[in-house]
Amino acid sequence: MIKLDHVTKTRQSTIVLSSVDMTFYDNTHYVILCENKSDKTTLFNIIKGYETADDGTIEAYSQGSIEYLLDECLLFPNATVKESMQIKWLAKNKDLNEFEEQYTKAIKLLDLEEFADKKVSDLSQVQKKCLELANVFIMKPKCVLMLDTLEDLPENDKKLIINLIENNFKDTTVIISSCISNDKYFDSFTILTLLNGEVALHE
Amino acid sequence: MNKQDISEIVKRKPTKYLISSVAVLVGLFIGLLIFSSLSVQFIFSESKKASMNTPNTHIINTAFKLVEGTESISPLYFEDETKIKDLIKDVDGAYSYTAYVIPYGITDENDNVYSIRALSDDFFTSTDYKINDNEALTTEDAKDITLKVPVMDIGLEGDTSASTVDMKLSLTTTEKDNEFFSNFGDMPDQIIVNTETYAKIIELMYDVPWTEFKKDNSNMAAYGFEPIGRINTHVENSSDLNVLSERLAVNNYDSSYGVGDCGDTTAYLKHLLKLSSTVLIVAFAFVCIITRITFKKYMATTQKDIGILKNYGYSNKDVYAIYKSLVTRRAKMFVIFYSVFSLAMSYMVFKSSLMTPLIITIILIIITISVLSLILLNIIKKTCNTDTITLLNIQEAEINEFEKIKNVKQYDEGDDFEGFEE
Repeated sequence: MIKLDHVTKTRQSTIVLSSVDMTFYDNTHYVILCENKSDKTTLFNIIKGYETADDGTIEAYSQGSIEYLLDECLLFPNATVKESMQIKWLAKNKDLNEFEEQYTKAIKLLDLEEFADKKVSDLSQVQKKCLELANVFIMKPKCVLMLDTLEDLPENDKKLIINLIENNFKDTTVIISSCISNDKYFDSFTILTLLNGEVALHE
Repeated sequence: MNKQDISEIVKRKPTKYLISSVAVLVGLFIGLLIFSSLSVQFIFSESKKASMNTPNTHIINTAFKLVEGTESISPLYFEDETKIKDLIKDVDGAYSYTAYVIPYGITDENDNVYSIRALSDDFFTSTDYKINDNEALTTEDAKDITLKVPVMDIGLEGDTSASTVDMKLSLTTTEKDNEFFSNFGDMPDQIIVNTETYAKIIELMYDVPWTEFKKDNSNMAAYGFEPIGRINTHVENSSDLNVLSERLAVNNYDSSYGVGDCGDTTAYLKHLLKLSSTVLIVAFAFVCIITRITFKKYMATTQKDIGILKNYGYSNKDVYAIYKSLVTRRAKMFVIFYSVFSLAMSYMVFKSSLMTPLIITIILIIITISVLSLILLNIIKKTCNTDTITLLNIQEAEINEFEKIKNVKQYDEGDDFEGFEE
């Protein structure tokens, strides 16, 4: 569970998060619909621990149990799919002993089997998104933050990605930020809004 | 997969311009370093060797003395041997010896003429050289001769000779430009004997004991000629040449050290060393600055990759280790390459193994590459310690002026906007 209690953040004399009270429950999928420059990045940075709130308290998982995906791909273009996942795996594991099992499972579930030996630079945008999800999947996080992950994807790809999240991250708290126009894709998600620095349930 | 493998995967290809400019610059500098280092050391060792092997480089020649209060010169006499010995006795490794001459040519049984020269006992006791009694060194063929020593009559009208006395001499061949002949001028038919033989010839010529002859010639030419050609002072340390030369000059001895250039050579070498060091230091500072600027630019392109690794969960220490291996591996390769290059230069250009200069050069290469590596590692460390949000640029864009004005307006209109401060 992640609990934000009166979390406030001010930047350049402007309040960007205004006394946010919100609880994100375990194994629940959330989407935060917001407009551009609504400081969703600040909210996610605070949950991940990259930024601190000026006021209020946060009860969250440890930083290592939260995976953070950005709108742009955080992958190394020279690495193959497998190497990318090995690099990710070694960030928290001393060796590759249990990697193979997790890797085989992840590429199967996330439709990457046929691209396993391809370099990241040769993958399409949606394949890169799948690889990022596979990277996250093998780490078994408690929470995944996805910052504008669906933006710039064609409609079919958006559906595919959401489908993969719904099916493969059932035991994980997922919080996605997305623009308001994408609300139609998130039927199974708890929909929230971030407007004027305040987070609320979408009506 | 280990950190080295990761570093090879995550490294970004620097631009051709960047890699080639740094490689050329560092390569040129190390080339310059190798060449200057080997050259200076080569010149130094060669001149040292030459100075060690050439006897004259350690010798002060004294051929005359100045008559006090006048501008005229006087020949040297036996009392000057003692005076010069006294002047140099406090200098370690210094000794003086006399080159004796007989100004007449003396014939042998076949009418071959010989100019008799001799070196005093001091020369033989201070060196390992030896000439036996009744032996004479020559640059011609070795043979046994009978010297027809003239018996001199000293008269008012000068020295004359009516008879000769036979004296057997064994001639031994030696090279012309050696430690014996270098003490005398370039006269033909010179033969060199030891003091004992010389004394014997003098005794036969003038029918006077050697000690008496020396006494008579202690401060004047009692027998119509000057037996002392010159008094040489040998110094062990070249730096004493100037000191002793000045001391002899103060005591009216007209001295010179044939290789007075020796001091100049040392000064020249010191100057050369100073100049090369200055050039190398300036060039090194330049290389360091350019490498630092260029590598900082390269790291700016790598900044995002470091952010990705940190976002994956790698610690600052892990990320540093990954990028450090990129630098250290190349540094090792550079050291090996340039060391082999130095070795090749040493053999090909200087035609010599030059063990000591080579080791010094390799040490300089290691120091250069280590300093450059430290500069690079410091830049890597600083980048690794930067916040992930800065590296990945995931801060919300700065609030623009329009939004600021909007907020101020809301505040002015009395909206309850807690915590807002202008």
